[in-house]
Amino acid sequence: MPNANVKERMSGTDVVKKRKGLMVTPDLCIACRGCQSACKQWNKLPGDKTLNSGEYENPPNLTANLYNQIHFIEKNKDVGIDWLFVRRACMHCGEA
Amino acid sequence: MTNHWIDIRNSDVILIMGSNAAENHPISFKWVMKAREKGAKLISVDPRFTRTSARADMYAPIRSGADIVFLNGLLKYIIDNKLYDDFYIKNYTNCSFLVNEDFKMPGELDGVFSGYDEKNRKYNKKAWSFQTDAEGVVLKDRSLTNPFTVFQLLKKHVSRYDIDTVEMITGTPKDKVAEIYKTYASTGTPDRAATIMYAMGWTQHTVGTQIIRTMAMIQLMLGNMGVSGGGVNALRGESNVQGSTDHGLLFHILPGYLKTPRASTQTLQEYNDKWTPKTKEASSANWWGNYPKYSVSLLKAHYGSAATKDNDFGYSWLPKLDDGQNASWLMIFDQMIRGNFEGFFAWGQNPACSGANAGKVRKAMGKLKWMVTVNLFDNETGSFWKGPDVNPSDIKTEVFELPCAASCEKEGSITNSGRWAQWRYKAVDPPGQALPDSEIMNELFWRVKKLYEKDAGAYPDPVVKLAWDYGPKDLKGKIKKIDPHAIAKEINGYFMEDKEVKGKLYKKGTLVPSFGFLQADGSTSSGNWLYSQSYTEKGNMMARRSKKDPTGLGLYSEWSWCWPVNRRIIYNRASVDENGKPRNPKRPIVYWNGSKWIGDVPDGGWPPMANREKTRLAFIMKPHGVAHIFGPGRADGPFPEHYEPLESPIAANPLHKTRVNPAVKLFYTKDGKGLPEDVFRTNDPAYPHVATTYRVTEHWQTGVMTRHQPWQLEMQPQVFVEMSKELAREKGIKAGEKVNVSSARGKLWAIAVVTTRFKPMKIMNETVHQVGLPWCFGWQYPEGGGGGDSANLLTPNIGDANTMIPETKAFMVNVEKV
Repeated sequence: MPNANVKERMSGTDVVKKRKGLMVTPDLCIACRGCQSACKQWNKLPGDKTLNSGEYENPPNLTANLYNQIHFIEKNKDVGIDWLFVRRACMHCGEA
Repeated sequence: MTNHWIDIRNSDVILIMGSNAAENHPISFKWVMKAREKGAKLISVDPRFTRTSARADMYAPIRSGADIVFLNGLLKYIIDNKLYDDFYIKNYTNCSFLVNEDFKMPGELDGVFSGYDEKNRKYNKKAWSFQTDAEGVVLKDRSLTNPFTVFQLLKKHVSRYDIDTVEMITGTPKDKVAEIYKTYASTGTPDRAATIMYAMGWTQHTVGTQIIRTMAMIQLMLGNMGVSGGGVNALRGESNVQGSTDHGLLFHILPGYLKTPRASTQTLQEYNDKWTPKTKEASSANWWGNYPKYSVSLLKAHYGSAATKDNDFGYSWLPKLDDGQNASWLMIFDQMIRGNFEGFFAWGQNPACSGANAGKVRKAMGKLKWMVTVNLFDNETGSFWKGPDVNPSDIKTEVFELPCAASCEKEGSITNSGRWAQWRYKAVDPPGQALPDSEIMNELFWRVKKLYEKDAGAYPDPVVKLAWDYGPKDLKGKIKKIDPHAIAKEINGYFMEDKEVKGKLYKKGTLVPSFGFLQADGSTSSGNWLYSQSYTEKGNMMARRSKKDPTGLGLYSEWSWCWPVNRRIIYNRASVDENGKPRNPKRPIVYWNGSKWIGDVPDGGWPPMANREKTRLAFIMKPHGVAHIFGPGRADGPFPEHYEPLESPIAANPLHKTRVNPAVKLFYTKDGKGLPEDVFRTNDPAYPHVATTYRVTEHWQTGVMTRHQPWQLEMQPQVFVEMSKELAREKGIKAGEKVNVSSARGKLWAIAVVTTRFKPMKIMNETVHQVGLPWCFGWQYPEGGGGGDSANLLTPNIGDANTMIPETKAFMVNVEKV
């Protein structure tokens, strides 16, 4: 991509224009939540004051200051359990 | 790590036990996932189903502190089913050695080995020795059938750890145990390799060293040491923990794992004689035979031209420990609370939260006259005098806080878990008056030296004779600015005079090419022999950034530099057959081309075993040249035996009458010896639940750096206690409620996380609940104590028999509704 487009590319608008879909592979996610933090950094969003509500997931939902959140789901299986990590996002960005 | 991070991708089976890599070493998981993409099986064994378990092919719960039972059971399974690597154990281990006929084991002596001295809680190791011929050469039986061979003794020792016993003591369901044993033991063939990723979940026990030894023995029995995709891999908890250990951070070692001198070795000769091993094995390289070259070179680095042959190279200036003295972490605070210290430097640490039995630690600091904290931020240690339940007017300790530079505000090397020393550059200036640690040390050195020069003092030489040649000096002789390159070069070592080595003349002031050139006559220096070759006349090896990978195994031998001599997988000559051919052709780490070794840097350049005369055995750091299945060097037994944690849910050791590791130091005994702060309660209905501590992905260590970070705090804002739904129901506790967690030593509030990821266990037919808490919180921040406090307020005052690392991973608590 030529340099003149760097600004546009950094903002992600070109990706949004060309994007047909968003592939998410939760199988590879270890719920480190690096993306949850990185999204805040990228979008210059403040941290909210939260409390632990009795689980790892926090904040409990997307907010005006949180565009990307990992949802933790504990599920019983026939044998053992599953701990599923699902990414919830505003779906407005081109970089994610 | 015997291997390195990237090499995890070459494994066929990965066992994560005693660590929670996905949460605490998330970047390592990149390589775990790469291995899984290629079909590797991931096994997670943990009291709690974690983010690591969520990605594992197999998960099994285990009671904290029962790891040796689980692992000895695996050894039994490997031996019973003949799944061991026969060639490997005969050639590369001491399995064929004949042990002294007087040697008796815990199965025969009710839980102890031969030579136990109950009064001193110590072993006389006389019987833990090998049979020798008249010349002193160890007798061997390569058929492994003699009942006194290490192999047969091991077989007998682990025969007591059958699968039913394993299930009863560990609480791990039998079918899970069997599935994991089968999968792990499938790597006993040369074409397969398994690796272990462990961390504090294994080390922080009264039997921590022996847990890791059991695993090392398993890896040896399966031929998984010295091979790509194998090894025993400790995941270190700080980016430079490996480097600080290599450079002598701990009390008992000097840089390069040389021994701290003891009072009984008054001369350099005595010291070197004591620590230089000898061997009668004709084919043993006995690398530690070079000990005097490394100790003298270290003294030359410390004292430069002041160190001469006539003054024992300044050996008398080194501080000496008393014989038998232990000066580790628990002992420091034990002495401090007894009023035996005047001052204390808490440098880059927060012991008020990180220290086991943190209540005692906090109290101990109040006994000091002064304390210096060197840190990025004020923390619970620097402000201990205004902590919870402390009246500042009662505290006389004067606290000095010195702000220091963060990692990106200074230049230097860090050594990662895989032994790779990587050079880092300074990105920005430190803020305000903050200085790099080296500059703070330079100030300290200069002022202490001036005081000694002015007032003489009891023994000035150890300080005033230091070479301290780390950059340009001002008119008074003080280093104006510390040059990290000068330090790195001193660590590598110099020729201190013109010297001919291996037929070549090296001029005075030349950097030594590697530790093979170090001398015991004072003609060379090296601040750490293990790091010799890291900064040579060719340049700073640690700053290399080549992405070449000719083996395709991810060695990246020209990216940074790794000790020893850039060997990426240690013991690598154990991966070949007698002709030097790789036993696993799919992942050949080294091979002999007829005249030299190709691939990784070999453990010495001698020809393969077929050349009986010139070859040297693969385990060069061991006097006998082979790895220790029978390990008489340990304080608590040459084979690993299960002992219960100091605090456990069961009254007795189900295997025999010896409940706790018989060689650990007891700080508190039933007859009232010890401080009230050291109290423990085992099998006590007041503290019915097994507890363990851990970290979380979202916070770093005690949280000094991350609790000030709003984005991290938003995700993990408060201390919590995880428990099963069954326990919560029994106690009427709901998720999100505040509860009190208490041990015999302290208590704290925590938010209840009620989860299916903890399940009640059956231990000796009784239901046992286990809970867990993180230790990353502290009263000071977030403000007002809203985040709670460190779980270390609960942890016991006891350490491992060999290392004295505190047993913070298994203890007993109660949980109650507030």
